[in-house]
Amino acid sequence: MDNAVFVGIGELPAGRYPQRCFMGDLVAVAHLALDDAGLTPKDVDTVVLIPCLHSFIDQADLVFSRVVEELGLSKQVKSQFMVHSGGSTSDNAVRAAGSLLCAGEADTVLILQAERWGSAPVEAMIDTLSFNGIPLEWEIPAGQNFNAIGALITARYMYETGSTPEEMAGICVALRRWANVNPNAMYRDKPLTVEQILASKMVCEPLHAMECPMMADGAVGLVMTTPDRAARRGQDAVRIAGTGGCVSHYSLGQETDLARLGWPKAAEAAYDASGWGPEDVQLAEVYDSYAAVMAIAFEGLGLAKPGEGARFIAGGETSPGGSLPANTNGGLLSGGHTGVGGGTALLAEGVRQLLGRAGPPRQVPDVRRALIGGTGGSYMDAQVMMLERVDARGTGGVPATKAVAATGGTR
Amino acid sequence: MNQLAERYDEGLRGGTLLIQYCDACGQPTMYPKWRCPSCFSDALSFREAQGTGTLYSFTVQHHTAPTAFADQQPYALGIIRLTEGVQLLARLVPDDTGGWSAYRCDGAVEFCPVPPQPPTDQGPTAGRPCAWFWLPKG
Repeated sequence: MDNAVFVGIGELPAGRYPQRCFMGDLVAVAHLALDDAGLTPKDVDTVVLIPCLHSFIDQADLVFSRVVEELGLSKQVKSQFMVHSGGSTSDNAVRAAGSLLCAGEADTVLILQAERWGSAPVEAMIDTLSFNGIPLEWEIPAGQNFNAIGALITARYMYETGSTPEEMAGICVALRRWANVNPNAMYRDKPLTVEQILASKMVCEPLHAMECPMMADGAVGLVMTTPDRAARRGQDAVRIAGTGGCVSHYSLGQETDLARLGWPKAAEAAYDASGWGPEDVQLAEVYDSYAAVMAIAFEGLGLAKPGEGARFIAGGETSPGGSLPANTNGGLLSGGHTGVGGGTALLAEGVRQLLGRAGPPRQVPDVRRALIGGTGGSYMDAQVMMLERVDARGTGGVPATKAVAATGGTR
Repeated sequence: MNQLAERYDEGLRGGTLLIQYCDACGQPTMYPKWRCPSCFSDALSFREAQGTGTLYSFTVQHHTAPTAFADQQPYALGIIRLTEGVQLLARLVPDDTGGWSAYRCDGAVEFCPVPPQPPTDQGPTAGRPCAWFWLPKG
């Protein structure tokens, strides 16, 4: 992905916003992202759309170029299409957009996502969540659903690692600390304690209500272009140093390694591609729709020792001021679960941090290298992306490993 | 439903858990598939499972079940590793306590040929059976 960089992001607050609307949010984040990149809609030649799950009618609008018309891009845009792999869509959307830029098929790509989960009727959403991405023939008749999927993974993870309920709840608290400094997070103004979580009702053993993600409205836009164009405009940018992926299963009942999933294989590929090691990662933004999902990823990515993911995160290592800041927007669990957009928000936060635009007190000082981890469906895949800041003047892409200490002070 | 699911369901309704085997390479496959995922042969047939295995992971659902299953709460779901080396998602029969506290990860479980509860009569899989497992007797 040597010929593709991020130059701008836009985001609307996540939460419950019944007064906002789907197309209005898409147009708003498109302009926010383009403004952030110092561009206008006139610069865009390709639009990549990340699907919504709240409505198939709205999703069809994404497929059939409504956004192009709404943005005033008719007869200007060469190509617009939707990419969909559930929660890992943003990773695959970047894979698609980046490949088009590298192939010379696109000059400037606008990636857009909006979701209305927070304002949709809850029962209908629970049912949608139960019949999408779960095999109708083999698992639905037993009553399978996404909280049960999270619980089955969590139960096995706790059994294999000896992680306690307090440690699992501690991950949620660690995420909340970041949400409390993110004005776009759903739970920006509510603190959270382990005691509160363990006192909340048992939903799906061992998951308590406060360990299940809260569905939210949200919208994110990203702008990608070629490094030449970014350099000509004098823009700071973020390059993709390497990616890796592993699709491990469709039905959760078929996954043979619940406490590891596809992470080790995806991580190995991404580290190989980038030339990085886990010690080069200064910031991680890793899918966290349940605490165990994040802990498992951290171990597979080599960011925590095997079996120690939950204790590492609950112990504060990823919290503000910790050794490895992670999910600095509050993640899905505290930032808000915006459907397919949860991973998109983590990606946008990683780019925002690398561009130095997170603002105090959330901005991680001197951060140049970030790891983005995504997964979709019943945690069917593991997607890893290594991102690196490229300064407007001078070089990004300095040789990886052990160069970290020399890169301080730039922002 | 397709022919594979119909055949599998027919087995469950008769108190039998079926595993698909490849006639060419002998590989067992769960869930039933159109081609052998190992050697890609389309010659596949069903055989009765031994009905023994271990519980890989399980959960008890108290809230947030899909509406078609809301009346059945609480219910327990488990991933079963069958002796034959394949896996499936199943319901767990309540233990002697009336709950599921006697179940353990990696503990032995057996196929229960007579489910203690009928399938849900609502939703997209209304009336369709699922496999149930319980703790070995004695």
